[in-house]
Amino acid sequence: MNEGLLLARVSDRPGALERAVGLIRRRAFAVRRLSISLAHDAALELLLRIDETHTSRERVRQELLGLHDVLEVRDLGAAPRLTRELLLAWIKPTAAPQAPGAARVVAVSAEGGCLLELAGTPAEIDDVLARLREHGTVFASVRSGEMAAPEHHPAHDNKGES
Amino acid sequence: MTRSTVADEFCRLLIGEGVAVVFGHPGGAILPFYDSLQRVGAPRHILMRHEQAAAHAADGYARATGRTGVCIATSGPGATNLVTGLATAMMDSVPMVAITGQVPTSVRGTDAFQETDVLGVTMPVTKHGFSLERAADLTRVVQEAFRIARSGRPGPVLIDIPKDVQNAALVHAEPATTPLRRMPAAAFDNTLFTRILELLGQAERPLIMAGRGVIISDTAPALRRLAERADLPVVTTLLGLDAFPATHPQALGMPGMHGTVRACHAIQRADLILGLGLRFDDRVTGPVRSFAPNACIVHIDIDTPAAGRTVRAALRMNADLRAVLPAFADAVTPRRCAEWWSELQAWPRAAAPAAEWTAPDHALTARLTTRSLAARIAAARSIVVTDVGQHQMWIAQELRDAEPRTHLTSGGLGAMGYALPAAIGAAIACPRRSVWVVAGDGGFQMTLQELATVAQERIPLRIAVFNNGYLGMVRQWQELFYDRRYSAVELSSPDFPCLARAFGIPGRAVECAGQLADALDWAEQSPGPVLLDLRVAREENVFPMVPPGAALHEVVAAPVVGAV
Repeated sequence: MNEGLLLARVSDRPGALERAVGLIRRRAFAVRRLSISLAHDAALELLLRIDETHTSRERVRQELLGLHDVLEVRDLGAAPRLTRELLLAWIKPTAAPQAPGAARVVAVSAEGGCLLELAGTPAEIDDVLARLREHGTVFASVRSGEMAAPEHHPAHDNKGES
Repeated sequence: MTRSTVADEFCRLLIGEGVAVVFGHPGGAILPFYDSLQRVGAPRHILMRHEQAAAHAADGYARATGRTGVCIATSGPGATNLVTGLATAMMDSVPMVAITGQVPTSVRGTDAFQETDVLGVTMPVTKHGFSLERAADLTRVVQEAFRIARSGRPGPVLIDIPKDVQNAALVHAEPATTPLRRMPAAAFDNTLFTRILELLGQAERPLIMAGRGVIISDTAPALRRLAERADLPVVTTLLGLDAFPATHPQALGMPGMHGTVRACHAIQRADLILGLGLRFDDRVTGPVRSFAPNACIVHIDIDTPAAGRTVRAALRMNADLRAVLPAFADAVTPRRCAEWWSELQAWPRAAAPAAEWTAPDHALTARLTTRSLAARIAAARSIVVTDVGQHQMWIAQELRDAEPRTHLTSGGLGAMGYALPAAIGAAIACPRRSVWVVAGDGGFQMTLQELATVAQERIPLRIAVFNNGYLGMVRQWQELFYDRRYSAVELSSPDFPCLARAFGIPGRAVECAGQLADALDWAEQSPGPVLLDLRVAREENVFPMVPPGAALHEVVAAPVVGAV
């Protein structure tokens, strides 16, 4: 699948998020993942993973920029390297060896389950979850949604946090 | 002494924004604002009989003047009734500010009486929306609303104000904690400008397609200068018909579903299309894959996202036509396109040959009626406001040299019921011009309660109702594409002249062709308002027509009179 990422910074005002999400629905954009977080300057950051077989990310970028709440839209490209997602999954203790080395157990329940924490790319998280489920060892799981960082440290363009 | 409130200051801010007239309907949650309107004494308020009509009237006011129209409604049903008018303005790029009352903040979110999340409801049909939460934000919100409504591609903006905020005492304005982004003005791209001039010089079959952007930007004179200097044929969309004189030898007429045969074929044969201030919507293009197969398309529009939603332009220029169209007109190399013109002239320009617009039994045909009416409208330099349906297309086909801002219609949304209230707005905006309303019997019945507004305000409208006893355009589609299985299109109507008289408006019925000229004389010579009930042939169809799904060159130029 041909996918790309956009990072939209949106003014945190009443209705702003709804307007941005409503635009995606109204224009029938093929957005595969959407995650929302609060930026250092109190703006909202929307990370959109776009299926470019249906929608060009430039078109999405232009349409988002047509909204007055949208402060900026960064094109993170088709294959940004710095994307991460967090997985929390309650699993059977016997499944722990099947988890990758980067995973760690952060809690154990009285019923004998253990809570696994794993950070990785969305594709890595998909793989791990699929493998665990194959063995019927996942009780429940939550994912944080995708996060992406710019390729350059902010200091490079003199835009450090203030 | 009464203290000054947010509502008082709101009225003063409206005056400061140049608002002379507002259209609205009061109710519980907007009472403080109406009290201020009365005490401040301005702007002038026109009491409409339905909030949809208030929005259409503000729309008509804005289209006729270029200024921002303002409409007002209360919370709940008042606000939701605005939606069709807001959507119309959004689709057709009409600057408008809608003000709605909201339940007090103390009960908001409790399903209070007449509470609706109007910001949420109107989000897809407004350019932006504000909820005024603090008195300190008033000035900024009002100023931002007007700026957004008229900047870039114009559109409607909604300001929702809880009742307690309207009643609040004025406080000093505070800066916004989270400012809105100001849309950057498009920079003049000299390289692109030069490249487009080169293409215009090299093309063998160049064509201009002009839309409402030319009207909004007041650049019709520059369009004409450009076309004449470079000998360019000009196609004008439904909303751009008044951007270029229809009787100009270089005018090809309207493109698309009910466009002229010449315009449709010209688009398909052109090797360069210069699109100026239009969206290339589906009614204009037909299936995009078959649109203008030979053309390099250059799209110039202020709305960046619009470029690329439908047709893929080879060159896109994000620009305000105010900045670039006069420059193109000045810089273009004068030339002649003799071969191209001889090819174009092989296709008919008129929508119907003269022999086909009279019926043998002297029945009143819609085509005859439209042509006679269009001639009167042109001669008197009247504003014409059409509704939606067959009559809308007939008027569009027969419209003569309309000056900019004199042809008003709901193009993008196609909202039946638009004409009468929008004409009220246009007539109030332009009291020295005569204003014609042209509506079908179906659309007219959607907002005819506004005859009461017309009578109360003594608005001198001339109202022509094309009365064929059908929802005509739907019937035409059922005849042509559903084997004449008429479903829910036959329409009974009141006796329109009698109804008009009940509102205090003189009315006459026209039954046959022989009565038409006399009735039009009467309508023109009356001080107005007047109503003509034009009982036209029942099953007349609009042609030319590009069948749905067909390419423009498959346009069908069928006989105009069907089963008369």
